[in-house]
Amino acid sequence: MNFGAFDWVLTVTYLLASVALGIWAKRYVENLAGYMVAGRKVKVSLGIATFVATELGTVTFVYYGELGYVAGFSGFIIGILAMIAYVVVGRTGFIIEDLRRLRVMTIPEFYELRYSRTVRLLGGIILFLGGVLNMGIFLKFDGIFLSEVMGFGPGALAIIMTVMILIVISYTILGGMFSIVITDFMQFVVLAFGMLVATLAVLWRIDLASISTAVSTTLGSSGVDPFANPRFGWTFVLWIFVCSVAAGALWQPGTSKALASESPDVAKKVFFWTGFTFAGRAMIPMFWGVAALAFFGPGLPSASAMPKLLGAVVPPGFLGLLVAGMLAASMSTYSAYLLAWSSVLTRDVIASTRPKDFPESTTVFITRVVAGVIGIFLLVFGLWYQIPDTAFQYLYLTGAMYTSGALGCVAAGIYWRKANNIGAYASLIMGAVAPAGFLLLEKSRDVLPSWLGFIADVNIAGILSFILAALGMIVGSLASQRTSPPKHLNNAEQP
Amino acid sequence: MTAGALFWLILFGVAALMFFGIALVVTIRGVSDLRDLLGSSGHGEKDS
Repeated sequence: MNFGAFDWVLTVTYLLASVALGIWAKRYVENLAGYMVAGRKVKVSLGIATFVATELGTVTFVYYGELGYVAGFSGFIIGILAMIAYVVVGRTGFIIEDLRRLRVMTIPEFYELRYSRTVRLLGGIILFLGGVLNMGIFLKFDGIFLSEVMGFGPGALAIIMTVMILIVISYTILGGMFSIVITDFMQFVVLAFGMLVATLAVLWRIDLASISTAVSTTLGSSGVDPFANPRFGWTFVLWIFVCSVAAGALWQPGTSKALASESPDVAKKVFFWTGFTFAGRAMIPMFWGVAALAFFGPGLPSASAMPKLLGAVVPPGFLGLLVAGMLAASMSTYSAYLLAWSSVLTRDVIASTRPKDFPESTTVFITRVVAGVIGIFLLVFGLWYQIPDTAFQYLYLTGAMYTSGALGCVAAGIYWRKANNIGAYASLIMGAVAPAGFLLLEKSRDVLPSWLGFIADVNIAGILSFILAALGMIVGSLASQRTSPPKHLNNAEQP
Repeated sequence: MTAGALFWLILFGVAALMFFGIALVVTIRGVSDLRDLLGSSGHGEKDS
């Protein structure tokens, strides 16, 4: 075991402080807006902290570390693409500015304003399914990371996963977005410090020349050139860039940070400055993964190489700090995701099947129950599901199941007056087809007819989802302007 | 060291500096944002 007494004290103290702070924040929840979007009172620096903390979970470190280990420096392109996408969204206010101005709490709420309640229901179901499937592997990867770093081995996976989800559920259910913002801030500080400690430890033990040599001897030119790497290529780069823009504007856990901002202008600033951290968010854990290649050589299970490295190079005492940082990263991500998906299921799916919305207190109650049920589902799903390809591509594909249709519906709904109900249905359904097809058919790619083989290519399935969603919106809307005239936002709602 | 590796390592250095630089500023300024958020919200109100 790598963990010493001091490491244990640090980790347990941090966990207890997180739970206490999260539960204490319950006193600030006054109404539904307080629970879902922290009363829309979040300012720039706090918004950046909670955004970065949400988008940086232990699973992020593991899948980026895995990419660094198997693809060398080539994967670094993902950080550059994500940075450009988020900075552009922040600078232009693409989608987020209008959503914040409309004072919606979830993205499918916009569908009802611009299209119909049924589009909101369909959009809510797809968002919920894509979101929960996306989150399904978080716990497993976090368990792998922590058991390797702490030195317990894979046997401790289930116990670590259970403890983590119970802690997060306890405060997310009670305090909603207030608990998330307050705990996120503390978690942001701890995780940034943990990342700094890990990076310095890696640089201290492994010199840059040996990292460069390991990449060139193991991977050749595919280790430095993303276009020469068979895992990536042009389709991958294009897909990830479009996906980053769509996720930047429309991924509910992230977008809820814009919706919780004090004003549309603050929302833009939060996205703009957070964008500059996104290159580091990807490259720092990838660098640890590349360093693992230099330290151990190829041949280790790809997901556990980087955690093994950190367990080996970070000295005792600092290891507790690193684990606290990673726990901070995970808990902030889980809490935001749990709230996002439970809000969507409650407000956009369950409530949309009724003629009128639930009273606020009932909505908060149902959201709390749903968050608990999702937590239990994640535990069960994470323990048995085997992930296709690398975790990174699985996450982007399940995300694309929703974001591709949502990009079509929301972008067209805001910027194109001819967008209508039929276009929205077509966009949501067609956007989900290619990723769902991949997830269902990937395991039987050998028996697929050759003309259908492309659907089992993760990069093509990803980019195809955006093309089909856009086509669905354009063709569907233009073909049905008479039978289904577009509904426009009224003056009060008009951004 | 190859030119490709050097290129990515320089970009990594810049990205890491931006990440930790912004983290430092946000840590310092976020405290007052947090104080404002809690100050402008009701204390001990009944949960709805």
